Amino acid sequence: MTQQLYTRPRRARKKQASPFLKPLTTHKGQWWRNQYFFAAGWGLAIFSLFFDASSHLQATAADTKDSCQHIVQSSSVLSRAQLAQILTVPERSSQQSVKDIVAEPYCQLPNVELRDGITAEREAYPLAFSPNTWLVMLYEGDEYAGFAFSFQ
Amino acid sequence: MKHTLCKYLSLMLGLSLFGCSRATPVPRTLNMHQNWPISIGTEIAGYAVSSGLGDISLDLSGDTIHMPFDGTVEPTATSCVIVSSADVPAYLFRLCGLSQPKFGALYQHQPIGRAQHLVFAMLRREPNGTWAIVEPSPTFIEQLLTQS
Repeated sequence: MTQQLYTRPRRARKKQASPFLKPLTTHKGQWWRNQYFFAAGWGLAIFSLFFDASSHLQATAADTKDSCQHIVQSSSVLSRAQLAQILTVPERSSQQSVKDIVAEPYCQLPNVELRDGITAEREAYPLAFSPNTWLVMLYEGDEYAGFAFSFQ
Repeated sequence: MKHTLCKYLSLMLGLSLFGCSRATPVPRTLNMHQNWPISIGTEIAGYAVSSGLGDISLDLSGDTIHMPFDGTVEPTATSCVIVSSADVPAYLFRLCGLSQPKFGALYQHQPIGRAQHLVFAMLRREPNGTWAIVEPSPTFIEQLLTQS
């Protein structure tokens, strides 16, 4: 399409059997008006757009389901009411105050040691009304430390 | 001919500007739990403070820092980066001293950038929404520095 846009006015004026690309000698001393130059420019622009796009398509958080270490209750989902209730539990509450709202998570993620000497346990719940969104809860010992939403 | 030339040149310029504008995301500001007066970025005698109380400095001699989890890298106003992950609630990781860090969503083990001296702080969310500097485990720091 770009080629057409460039060659059409020229063809109309001169009515010549125009080659696909004009040779480098068409405009002496005006190399920047040469069509090879433009073709190369467009090629470079398109190439760089792909390159740019690929860097933005890199990562959108891998599946939380895939990072599960073991499934606790495969039918476990969070209803809107349960989610609203869980979010009212303040950080540093006991793990039990979360478990009182929903007894079992869908799965446990592998434990991690973030703070020195303290093991963090993570549990994940899919939302009943948005199955691609997961609520991840982090506990340290008996203490509830915080939550995050993982979108897939 | 000249008009079409100008049109295409401006289109190309527009595209390249659009590409560049996305490369500089908005800096993230955090409310810190500990409000020490000499924090990163503070100027003393014309020199900027590059690490504060609670930061851990590592001499990396230009080595690469990797993502500890799948997550997001955001800039701060004091030319550090904040690494966050939906897989690790309640924690943020602040890294300073990186040259040309990558911003946006990255996978675990992907390189974030290189540093001569990495200044690292682990931040834990307090119930009031502020972020407290806590002591990181050596195994976690190892995850930042090794590829697996």
